[in-house]
Amino acid sequence: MAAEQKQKTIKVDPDLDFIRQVNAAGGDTLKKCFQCATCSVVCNLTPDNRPFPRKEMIWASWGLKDKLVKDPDVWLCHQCNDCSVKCPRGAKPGDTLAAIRNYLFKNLTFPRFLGTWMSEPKYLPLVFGVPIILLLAALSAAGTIGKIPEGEIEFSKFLPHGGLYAVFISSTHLAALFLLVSLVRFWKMLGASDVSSAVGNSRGATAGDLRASVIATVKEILTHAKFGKCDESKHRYLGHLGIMYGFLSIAIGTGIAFFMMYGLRIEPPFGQFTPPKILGHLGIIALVIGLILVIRHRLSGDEKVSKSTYQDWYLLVVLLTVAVTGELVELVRFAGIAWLAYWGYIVHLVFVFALLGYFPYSKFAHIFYRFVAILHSKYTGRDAGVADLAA
Amino acid sequence: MASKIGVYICTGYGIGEALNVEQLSSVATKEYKVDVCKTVSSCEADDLDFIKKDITEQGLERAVIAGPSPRFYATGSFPENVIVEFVNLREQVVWCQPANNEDTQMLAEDYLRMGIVKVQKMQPVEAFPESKDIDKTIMVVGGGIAGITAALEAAATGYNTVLIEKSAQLGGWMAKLKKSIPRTPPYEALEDTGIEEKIKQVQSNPKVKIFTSTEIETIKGGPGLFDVTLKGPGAASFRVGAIVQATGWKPFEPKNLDHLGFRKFANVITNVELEEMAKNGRIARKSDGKDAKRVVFVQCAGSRDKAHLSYCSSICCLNSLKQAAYVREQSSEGKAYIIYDNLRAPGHYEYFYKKMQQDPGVFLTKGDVVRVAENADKSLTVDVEKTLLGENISVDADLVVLAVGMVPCSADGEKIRTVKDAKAFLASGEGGPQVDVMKKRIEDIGQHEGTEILNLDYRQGPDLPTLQYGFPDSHFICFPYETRRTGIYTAGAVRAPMDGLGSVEDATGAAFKAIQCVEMLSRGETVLPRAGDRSYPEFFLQRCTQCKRCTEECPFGTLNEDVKGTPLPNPTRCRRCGICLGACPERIINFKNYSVDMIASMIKAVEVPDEDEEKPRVLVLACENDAYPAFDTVGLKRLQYSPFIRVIPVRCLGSVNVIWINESLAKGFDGVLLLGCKYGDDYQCHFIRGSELMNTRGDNVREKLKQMALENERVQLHQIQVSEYEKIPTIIGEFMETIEQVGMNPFKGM
Repeated sequence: MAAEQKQKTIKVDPDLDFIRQVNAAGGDTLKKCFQCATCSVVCNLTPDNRPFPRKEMIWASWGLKDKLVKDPDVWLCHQCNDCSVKCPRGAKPGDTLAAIRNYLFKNLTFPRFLGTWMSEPKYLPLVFGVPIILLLAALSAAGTIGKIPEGEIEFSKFLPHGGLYAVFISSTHLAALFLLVSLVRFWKMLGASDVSSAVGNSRGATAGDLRASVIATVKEILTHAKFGKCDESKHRYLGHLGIMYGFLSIAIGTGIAFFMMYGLRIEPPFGQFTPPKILGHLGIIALVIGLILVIRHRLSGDEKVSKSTYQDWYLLVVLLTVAVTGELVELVRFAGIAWLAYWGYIVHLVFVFALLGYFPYSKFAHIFYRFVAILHSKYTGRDAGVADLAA
Repeated sequence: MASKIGVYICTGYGIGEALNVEQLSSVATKEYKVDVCKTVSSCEADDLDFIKKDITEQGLERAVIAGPSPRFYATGSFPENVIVEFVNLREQVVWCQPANNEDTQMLAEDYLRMGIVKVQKMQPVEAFPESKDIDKTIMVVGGGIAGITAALEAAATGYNTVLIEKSAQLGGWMAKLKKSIPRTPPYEALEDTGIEEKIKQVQSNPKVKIFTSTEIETIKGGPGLFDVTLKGPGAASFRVGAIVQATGWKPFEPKNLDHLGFRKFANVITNVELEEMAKNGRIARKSDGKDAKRVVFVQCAGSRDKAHLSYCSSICCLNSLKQAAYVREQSSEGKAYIIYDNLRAPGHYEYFYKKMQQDPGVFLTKGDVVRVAENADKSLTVDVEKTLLGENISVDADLVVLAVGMVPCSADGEKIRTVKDAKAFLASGEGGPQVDVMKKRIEDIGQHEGTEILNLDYRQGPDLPTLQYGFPDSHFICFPYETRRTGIYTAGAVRAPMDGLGSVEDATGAAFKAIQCVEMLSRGETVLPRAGDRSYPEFFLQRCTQCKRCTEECPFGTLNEDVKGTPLPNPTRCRRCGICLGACPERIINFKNYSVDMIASMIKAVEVPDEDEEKPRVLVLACENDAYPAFDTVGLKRLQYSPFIRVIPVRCLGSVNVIWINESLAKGFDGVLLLGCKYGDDYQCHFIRGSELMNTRGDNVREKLKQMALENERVQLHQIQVSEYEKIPTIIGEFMETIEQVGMNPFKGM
């Protein structure tokens, strides 16, 4: 091919430390790859042009960090593991790409030390220590430590909204800001114009149209269209769908609650048949079912195909704990056991912080990086081949 | 010739149903008046026992058994003093021809005639007289891993062994390695070579006599009777029976590979140089002695490239993986890049490749190294194209290691002799157009002078003939270790590129072949491929015209010449192919059981119908190793072909004497088909070039045809493999059509 004749020459200097880190982050099989490209052939999600994950496998085994940091395909992968099942060498491309994503959570978002905290269990005391100290500080400011409020159980009596917001709004907003900066940097690194001229691929309907691309991306994520194309991991489709809609439902419910509190000036606690409560409960049911499906699969999963990393378990366990403690606290509140309800509420908040306070550095961030990568693929027209398949 | 002859006709396998057995018997009883003619119901155990018993009871000296193919019977199942011949009525008559048909019956009758005539013409075989004097000492040439192993194995089997090494120390290349590639499960960790232990073993073995710093002055005689004279500090003379040549390999010199910068840049070295460095302690830049942390291995540096070293040496990839391990052991930040075309890790070595592949500091890619450039600090930049990374890459390196292949340490005996002959011709002062030819010859192959290793006193040259890449092999599939000199076996990297483990296995095999050789010679038998054959060629030298065809054409260099050019036979060198018999224009070379007269008489025994009967006859001379078994398979598959052919198996197509063709045409055969093995560089002939020689004799045949005013098309040669049986009906069909076109032979009935 004429296009190949004019290949540019790149200076290659493998980053041994990168290889070691990806090995440690769940990609210890990556060097088994011998570049047969079975993975790229069996992948249902890859674009036809410059398909993944073969090229990612050799970039990783050659320690070419710079290539992978700005590679959107790492995020187009949904870890179906079709590739890992078919891989003749046990190189597990699915796990390798997940490990590369883990590496990126750790290294892509500013400040990096938070990424390091999220990457290994040994940092758990720090991860949980921060919300515990912050919440205790808020309680002591309110003067409620050691004093269980009397009367009907209202959480704001124990932890006033001011203290709650001080802890959560500040931390999540700061994290969101850092994430936004990182995502913008990521978008630039992907190079929006780089791929659109690629050979042999008709440009998709959304190419070059940012608004249409965003709509298409949102649609794809809401329908889990890509997930549905996985052969090996069909069960994950439902589980993940449950988790996503459960989470969305809770998030929307929380938004409505804020609107009711500050827009409509309705004082919580709200009645059980108000929108925040209905959405919250439905969300928790969907979330817990989804989580059970996913966790059960991960526990019974074939180690030869894929193994779960610390990052995977952190997100699943924290999510489940948030859902379960949220519901239990509600039950205890109805039961009228005040001390348990108030302190249970604090435990629930600690886990909420573990989920939301660090979201740009944990696997939680895949929502955003993946969104950007899919958006990029639609905006550059690289997604055309896959979209056609889906149609 | 009053030998008592018996004929046994088997009626089983459908023979009795397809043929008129009574009429067939009358050929034996009436035409040839044999002493005994009986029918048996099969050729299975009970009936065979009956035949054997009957042969003894009737006091027969010769017997003909007409039934299944000769390949059906286990050898040695008949009394040794009785000549037994088999007529192939099953595979080559009733299984490939219609039953109860006039032509089928004629075919069977002709085959029976040929069988009876054959036993009439055969003489009892006696072992050659030298078999009583066979020396069973095994001499091993070369003291590397292969040579040491061959000596140890031969000694362990109880044979006296002599080990000759040119250099002062034993051990060869193995002694120069830091480590060996993994040879034991799980094939992941580098191992000590273990060569010191082997050297100690061979040095302390009382059955092995070792000569170091020693070369061979001459080897006279033949296997079982080799008279060896050594030169060097331990000069000696002694007799040995068989020789294992394990002279090993030398690294390919990467000349004319300018883009790789060898000998141009200090830090471009060969894999052999890197090994030396590693063995001496540290892998360092040649330019300044600093530790080499970035090492690029360039695979196939000259290998698998017709312009340099055409073949794959099979171990360079593994060697580079091993040396990559050295680089990684030396520094945890070390980087070893291996740029290959195809990374080859045969057999269990795949595990080693997989292991090394997993090292974070080992980087593998397919690619073409297009340029090596030197930087100001003497480091190197390697440009690689067509990589698996999808882009051309450029890598900085402290060292570039060229993985060069293995060149056999052999001497091309035939070329050495050609140069010697050409020089002798020029020295004789004889003029003529030959002078320029000889001068050109010396210029072309002169570099072979002085490369002698074995210094054999053989008319065809002082060393083993080699194949196209210099490996002195004869037939790597069917007969590994065999060379074209009987009793001399090659082992290790001189035979084919291989690693230490392969050399050990090879040397063991070669040692046993050497032992087999001396044992069989002491029984008067020859070795492969006619293993066990005690017949040998006899020369009626009174009629020899010193044409030298036999001494030139023998693929095994059996015959020396006296000053006049008369052949001097060496039966222990002979493999009994009969090529000399085929070559001799005077027909003075014959075996007791395979002679010019025998085949000629068989041809004459065939009844050729008159021209007006419109039943042509075609003689098929078929190589008994491939073509003849292929005919049997045709029968087994029940494929049909013309009933007008008459097949005679020959030892090798090269053993076909042109007189047989002439006589068959003179007798009225309409054509002759010669079926032999594939020839050329990748020949399949058991005797190296028998079918090729027959093809070149075709000129004589064409001349004869011209004299007789017959068409060239009447004689054809086809190359056929044993597996290509399905081609046979087509070849015969097309040949019969050709005969129909050119018409019947006008010499019929004359």
